[in-house]
Amino acid sequence: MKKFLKKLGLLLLIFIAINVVTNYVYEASANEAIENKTHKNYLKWTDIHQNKNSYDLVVMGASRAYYAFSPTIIDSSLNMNSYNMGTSAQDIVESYYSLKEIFEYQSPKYVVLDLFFPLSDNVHDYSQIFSNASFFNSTKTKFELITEGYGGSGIANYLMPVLKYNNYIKQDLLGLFKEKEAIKSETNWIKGHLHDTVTVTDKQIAKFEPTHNFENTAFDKKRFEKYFNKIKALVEANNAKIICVRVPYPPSRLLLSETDDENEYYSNFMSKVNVPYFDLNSYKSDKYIYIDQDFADYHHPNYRGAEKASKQLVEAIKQIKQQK
Amino acid sequence: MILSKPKKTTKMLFNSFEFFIFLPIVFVLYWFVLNKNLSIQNILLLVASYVFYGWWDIRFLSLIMLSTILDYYVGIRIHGTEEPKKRKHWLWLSMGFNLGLLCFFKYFNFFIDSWITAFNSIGIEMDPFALNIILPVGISFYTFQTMSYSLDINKRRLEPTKDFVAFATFVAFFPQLVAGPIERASNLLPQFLKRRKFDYNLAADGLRQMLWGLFKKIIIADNCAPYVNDIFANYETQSSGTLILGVIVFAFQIYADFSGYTDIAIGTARLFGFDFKRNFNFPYFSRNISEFWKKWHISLSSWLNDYLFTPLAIEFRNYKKHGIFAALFLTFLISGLWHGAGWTFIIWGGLHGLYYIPVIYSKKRFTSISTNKKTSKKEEYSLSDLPKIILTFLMVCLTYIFFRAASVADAFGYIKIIFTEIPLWPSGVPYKSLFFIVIVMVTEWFQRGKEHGLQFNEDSKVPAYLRWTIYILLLLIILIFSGQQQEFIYFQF
Amino acid sequence: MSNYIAEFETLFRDVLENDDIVLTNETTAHDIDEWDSINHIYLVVEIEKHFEIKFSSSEILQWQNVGEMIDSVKAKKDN
Repeated sequence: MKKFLKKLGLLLLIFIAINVVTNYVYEASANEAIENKTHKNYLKWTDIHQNKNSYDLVVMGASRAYYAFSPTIIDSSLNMNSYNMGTSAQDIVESYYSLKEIFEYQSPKYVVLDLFFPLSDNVHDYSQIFSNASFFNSTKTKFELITEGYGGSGIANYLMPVLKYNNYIKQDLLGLFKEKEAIKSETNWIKGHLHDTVTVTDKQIAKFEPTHNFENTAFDKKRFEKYFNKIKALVEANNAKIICVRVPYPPSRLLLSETDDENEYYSNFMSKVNVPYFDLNSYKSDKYIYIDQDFADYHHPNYRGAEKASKQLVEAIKQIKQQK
Repeated sequence: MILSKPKKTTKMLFNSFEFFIFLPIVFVLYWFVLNKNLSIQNILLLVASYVFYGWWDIRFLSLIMLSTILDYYVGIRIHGTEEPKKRKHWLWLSMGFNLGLLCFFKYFNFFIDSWITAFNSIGIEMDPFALNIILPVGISFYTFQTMSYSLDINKRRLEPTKDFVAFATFVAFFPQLVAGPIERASNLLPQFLKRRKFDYNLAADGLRQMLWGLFKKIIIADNCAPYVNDIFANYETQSSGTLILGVIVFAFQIYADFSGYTDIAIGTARLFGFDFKRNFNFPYFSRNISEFWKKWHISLSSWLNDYLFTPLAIEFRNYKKHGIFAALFLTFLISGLWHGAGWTFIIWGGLHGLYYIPVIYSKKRFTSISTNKKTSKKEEYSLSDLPKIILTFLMVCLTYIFFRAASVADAFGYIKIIFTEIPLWPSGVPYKSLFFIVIVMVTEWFQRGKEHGLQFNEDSKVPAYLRWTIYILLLLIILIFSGQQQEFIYFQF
Repeated sequence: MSNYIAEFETLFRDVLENDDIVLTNETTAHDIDEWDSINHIYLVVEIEKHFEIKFSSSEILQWQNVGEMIDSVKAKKDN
C-alpha cells in the first residue's frame, strides 16, 4: 500500500506541476495586459466598480453584443450614460452572475440582453468565463457562478488549468502544423464597445453556414429558461427594465437558413413572459438594411453594422418609453 | 436509444467530476478506515454501491433491492430440497420475477407497438397504447447476473450463500452495476466471501486499465459521436463513400465506448481487490465471426452460450446441423432483443446468426481459438490473416448499420445508397478522431496478448520513465482533447 | 475404466480433428481449444451414437468434466 500511495503521490505531484506551469504560461499574457491596463475585461470591470451609480443602461451578452452596441451613439440619442458589459463567450449563466455583481455598484434603468442559441448550450469556454469572473469583487458571486452555474464541470475546469485552457493548448499545438492566422489587435474600446474596422472578405462569405437552429446547436431550453427567469427577477428587483435583442447576422447567412428557430423561439417565449424583444435582423427593416459588408466576420458587426444596430436599439427603447 | 446531442446529466458517469470525488472517498474508507473485517468491508461497498445507483435513479433502487432479496431466498430454497419439481418451481419464481421485470420495463411498449402494427397491417385498427415507462438503469445486467446465480444453484454448480450482505454486494457492486460486465456468481461471489487484502500489482494494473478505458471513452468515443450522429441523422443526403466511413467510425466508437467503459469497470474493481473476467479481447482482430463472438462482450455471449444456446442445442441435437443452427439463430435473436427493444436490434442479432451458416454447414468441423484458456498467450497471426480480419470487420460493420439506425427503414435506406452508388472519397473526414483510433488500435495490437491495452508486466521491457511519460501523456491528452461528454451507448441496456 | 478414457480420446480426436488431444478425468472444455459450445453438441451426439445410449438434457447440462461424462455413460451401460 505504501508503494502504491507513494507512486500515486508522485504522479499527482507531476500532474499539479504541469498544471501550475500551464496556468503561468496562459495567465502571463493576461497579467501583462492588466499591468499595462489593456486587458479589456479588467478595464470594463474597473469602470463598473469605480464609477458607482453612473450608468443608466447596461448591455449584456457575448462578443456579438460588444461589437454591435456603441454607448456613444446610445448616449447622444437618448441623453443617457450607457455601458457595454458584453464579454467574450458570456453565456446566459455568466450574464446572470455578472449582473449580480453589477447591481452592487450600479443602478441602471435598462438592461439590454443579447440572445442567440449558443449562449444557452452546454458548450462552455471556461477560460473566458473565468477570465471575466476573475474581476468580480464578490467572492460569493464568483463561487456561486462556478458551483451553481457550471456544476462539477465548472469546478473541474476551475481547478485544472490544463482543462481550462484546453482550447488554447489545442490551437497552439495545431499552430505548430498550420500557419497561425494573424491575431487582430482589439484596442479600440469605448465604454465597453469594440469599434472594429475590419470588413468580412468574399472568401469568408463563400464559407458562410446557416444560422443556428435546434438541430445544429445543443440549445438547452431548461438552462435558458431557468437563468433567463433569474435575470428577469433580478432586474425587476432592482427596479430596472429588461430588453431582449437579437444582434443581426450577415444577410447571406440568413439566405442559407431554411428555418429561423432562434427568432421563433425567442419571440414566442418573450411574449409569454411579457418582455420586449427585438430581432434586429428585421426590426424597422425599411430603415435599417444590412449588407454583408456591415460585418467583420460571420457574426460580428463591424463599426458600420454597429452604427445601424445601435440606432435600432435607440428606436426600440424610444418605442418602449412611449408604451409606458 | 439515446444517441443524440449531449445533455446535462446528474448521473454519476465514470468520466464525471462526481465520480472523481466518490471513488477516492470509498477507496480511503475501504482500505484505511473500514477494513477491520469482512462484514464491514462488504457493508461499505454495499452502501457505496446503493449511493452510486441512487445517484442515477433513486426510484429504482427498491427494484434492485427486491430482486436481491428474492434471489437470495430462492437460492437457499433450491438448494434446500432434493425434489426436482420443487427445485424447478423455485427456479421459475426467480426467473419469472427477473425476466418479468426486464420484459415489463424494457419491452412492454415494444410488444404493444408491434402488436398494433401487426393488427393494423391486416386491417384491424387498434388504438395506440403506450405506458410512460422509464428504463431502470442496469436492469439488463443485474437481472442476468442474479438469474445466473439461481440457474447455477439449480444445476448444482454452485452452493448458495447465507451471507446476505455479501450476496447483495455481489448483485449491486458499483463498478459493474450500470453497464456490466455480467459477472458469474461462481467467479465473483467467492471474492465477496473472503476479506480482501491490498495487492499492489492488482491495484496498479487497475489504475492503468482505468486510464486506458478513460482514454478510449473520452478521446475516441465522445469525439466520434457528433460525426456519426450527423451522418446517421442525415444519411439521405450523404454520399456512398461518406456513409461507409460513417459506419466504420461508428464501429470504433462503439468499441471504444463499451470496451473503454468495461476497462474502467474492471480497473476500478481491481483497485478494491476484485478480479473481474475480461469482457473484450481485441475483437476487431478476429479472423472469422465465431472468433469475433468469443472476443466481443464476452460476459454476455458466454452467459447466453451457457444458459440459452447450449440447452437449446442439446434439445435439438437430433436435428444435427439444422438443430445447431436453429439454436444459434434463436440465441442471436434474443441477444439482439437484449440490446434493445426494437426491430433494428433483432435484425442486427439475426444477421450475426446468419453469418454462422457457412461456419456450421461447412464440411470442416469448425474449430477456432477459444478464449477460455486459463493462460492467455499471444495469438499467432500471419499475413494471410489480414484479408480475413478485414472481411470479418466489414461484415460486422454491415450489421452496425441496423444497430445504429433509427429504424429498419432508415437502415435499408442507408444500405441502399451504399450499394447503389459508386463510393467516392468521403466528405468531412474526421482526421483527429481517425488519428486517435489508429493510435489505440496499434497499441492494442501490440498488447493483444495482455488483458488490456495498457498492461505492463513486472518483466516488461518498457522502462519506468517511459511508462510514466505515457501515463502523463494520456492524462493530458484526455484533458486537452476531451470531446463533449456523451452517454455510454450501452446505458440504455 | 481406462477403456472408457481411451474410447473417449479416440472420439474427441476424431470430432475435434486434433490428434494431440489427451484426456484425463479432470479435463474440461477450458483445457482444449477446439472444444467450444458448437463442437460440444457434436461430441454429445457422437458419444450417444458410439455407446448406443440416450442421455436426458438435464444430465448433459450437469457434466463438469470428462470424468462426469464417463460416469454417466457407465451408469447407462451398466444397467
